[in-house]
Amino acid sequence: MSVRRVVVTGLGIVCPVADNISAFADALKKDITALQPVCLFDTSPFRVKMGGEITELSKVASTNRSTAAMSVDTQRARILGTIAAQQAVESADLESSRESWAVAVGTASSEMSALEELYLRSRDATIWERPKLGACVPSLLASQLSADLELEGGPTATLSSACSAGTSAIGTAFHWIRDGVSDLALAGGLEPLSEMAFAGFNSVHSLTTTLCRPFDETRDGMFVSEGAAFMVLEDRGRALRRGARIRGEVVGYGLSADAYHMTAPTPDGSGLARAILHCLAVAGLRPQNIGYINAHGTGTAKNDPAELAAIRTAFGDYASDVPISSIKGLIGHSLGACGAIEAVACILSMEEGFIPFTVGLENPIKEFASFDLVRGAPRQARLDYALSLSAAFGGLNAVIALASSSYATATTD
Amino acid sequence: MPPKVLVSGAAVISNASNDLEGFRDALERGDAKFTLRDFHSPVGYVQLKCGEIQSLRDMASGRRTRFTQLGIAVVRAAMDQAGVGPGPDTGLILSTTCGTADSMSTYLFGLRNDGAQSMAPSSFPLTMFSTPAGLIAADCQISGPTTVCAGFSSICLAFDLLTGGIAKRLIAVSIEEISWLVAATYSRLEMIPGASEIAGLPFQSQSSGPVLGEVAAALVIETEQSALERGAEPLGEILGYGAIRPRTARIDPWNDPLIEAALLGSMRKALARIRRPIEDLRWVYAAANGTPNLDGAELRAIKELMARCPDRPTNVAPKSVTGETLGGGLAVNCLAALLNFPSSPKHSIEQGTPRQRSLSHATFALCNHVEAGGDSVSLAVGPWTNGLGQ
Repeated sequence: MSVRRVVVTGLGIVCPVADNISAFADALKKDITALQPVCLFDTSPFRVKMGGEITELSKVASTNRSTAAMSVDTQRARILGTIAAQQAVESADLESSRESWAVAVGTASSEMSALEELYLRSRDATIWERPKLGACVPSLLASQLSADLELEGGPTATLSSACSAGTSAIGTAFHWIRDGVSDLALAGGLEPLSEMAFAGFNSVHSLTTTLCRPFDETRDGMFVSEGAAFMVLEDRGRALRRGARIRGEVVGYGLSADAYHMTAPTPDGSGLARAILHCLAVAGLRPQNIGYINAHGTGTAKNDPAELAAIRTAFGDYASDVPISSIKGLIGHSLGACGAIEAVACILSMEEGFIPFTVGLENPIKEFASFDLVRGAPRQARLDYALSLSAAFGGLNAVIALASSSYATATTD
Repeated sequence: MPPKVLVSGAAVISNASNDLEGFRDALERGDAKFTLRDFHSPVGYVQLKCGEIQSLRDMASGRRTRFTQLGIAVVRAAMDQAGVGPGPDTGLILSTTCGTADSMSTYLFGLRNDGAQSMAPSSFPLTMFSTPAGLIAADCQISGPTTVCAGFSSICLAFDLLTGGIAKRLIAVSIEEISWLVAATYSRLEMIPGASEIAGLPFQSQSSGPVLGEVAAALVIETEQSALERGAEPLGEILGYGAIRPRTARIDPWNDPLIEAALLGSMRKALARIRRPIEDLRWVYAAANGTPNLDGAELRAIKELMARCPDRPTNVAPKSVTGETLGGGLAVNCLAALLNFPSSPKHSIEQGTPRQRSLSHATFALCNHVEAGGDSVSLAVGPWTNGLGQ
């Protein structure tokens, strides 16, 4: 095995504000939010009625050959994953069935729509049929996605570390390619909007009753959303040989555990700081190399200050200089998908030379007033490296470092 | 060169035994402790033969589900055995197939029967796979690289992260428990035979399918340098693995006609990766679980693999003792292989310290596993040779 470089040659996305990469790049520059009344299930029992639902999913699925026969009620995760993964594979200009693929999929709750159909809406035991029962085995989704897209090869992994799963999926595939396990990988995350997640975050009082305002003094919570994003990752040498369009590079991956609490992060951010430092070390980068941090930035009382404290610990004096934003005010919190969606946002930012702003942020948290929290409008910037941060229930943190396409193509191994 | 990856400690909680020596003895005797268990579920009543962890049946308390408690107990035991303390130098990789299915069922039934207002705030996080990993890490004060995977063994992921230089020591823990949802699913899909049928006898013609089993197994896996620096006494070496995903995705891959090619492919991939001569392959710890299609396919794949080799490996099927432990299957096979090596210590996780023996020949074993979904994985493990026979 040899250490190789890992480039991004394909991108795909479906989320509440976009059903393709170009539309997503445009949405990242707008002052809009996906927050709207949820129609997918009855929200009357809940304090909060709003979320980030992809209202046009039926329409999008019906026009796609691979998903036309799937049900948006019970195969929602599979539809989301297939649409985004298919875009990624097609944009990589690869004939999928002729390649050997590793596949890494991040998800928090997998095909929850099928389980909810069984538990919440059925009083008839005969509904417990084969396809729906498969939903209790989360790893089946990655295999189904691979089969739907005719991706043979291996390995296949489902990263199920909740809200850091999408980042972990990309990080895992990064290591597979870097260390010679595979030459080519599909990696990303997917998450359907589910009543269980909605009820759960409602019960822990994490949902906003107004707007999601990451890093704002008046923040009052997040909104649950759905989506999927995938990347095609490839050995750089192979990508160059076939003349692929290189969109960026994955250069580092870091993990840590808070070892602290079931849901709350360490207030001083020490756990996440370790993952950031870990990632920088793997990438061989210093804080001063990083031009942008895409934060987990949920807009909840505890996450945001802990995350900024983590950046302060990891970045030291440079913490006040590095531009930071969260896109969860725009797209909401899509749990197992958000890390992958945010990684795609980083790639697009570097490609198009802008830093997305934090929708909803007006008055930054006082303690971190000196931080460069990008707000109000996107900022033009030439970026070589970006970090994407994720944190999950249980205190599981994951960070990836991404480099621009100009770095990926111009530099030598 | 990537670093050598060693197993420097282990622990197991299973139907057979809750200590390593008892586990090895049970495997040697073929001592299967399968019991009848009743499952009442919305799909009706089903009675199944199971490899249940009897001694820890009612161990859940408060926010710690039985799943989490199994994890804490087995990780603590593995850390004790390996002589590993808490801190950021050690990480945790948790793998499971059905994971928190029990918590998920409880939550969804609560939502349906009692309504959203009655849901305890702590009940939702318990449905997420990351929560037990976080609680185990918190209890054991492990704060290094930590994540959770399904459909891919924690041992393989730990191996990748260690050879990739992202960590120097990881605890790979695999946990599977039989909840009613798991029992109902596999029963209704006709993947497991009824209680009255002959089952759970790998490679035996009269077996009509597997017996579901549960297990918690933890392996302390670290780079050779890390192990040597702290004077660890390795149980063996993880050499590498091969994984093959077939064209189809099946929740019942044991009945997949493509499984033979997938198993052959994964074994070949593992051999190519570890660059050891096939003549040194002494044991195959089989995926076989008593399902006629899987067992026959695996034997044919092994025969094909060894077609040009005069010596055949010994085929061992630990599932005859533990039952089909789903996401715990590869850990069971790996542990069985490690405990069977001539250098392995006779050791209980509760007492004493392992004694080490020297070894001069680099034989190895392949541990096969078939994931839900259909992926076939072959993990190569060998005795720690400390440079000999390489």
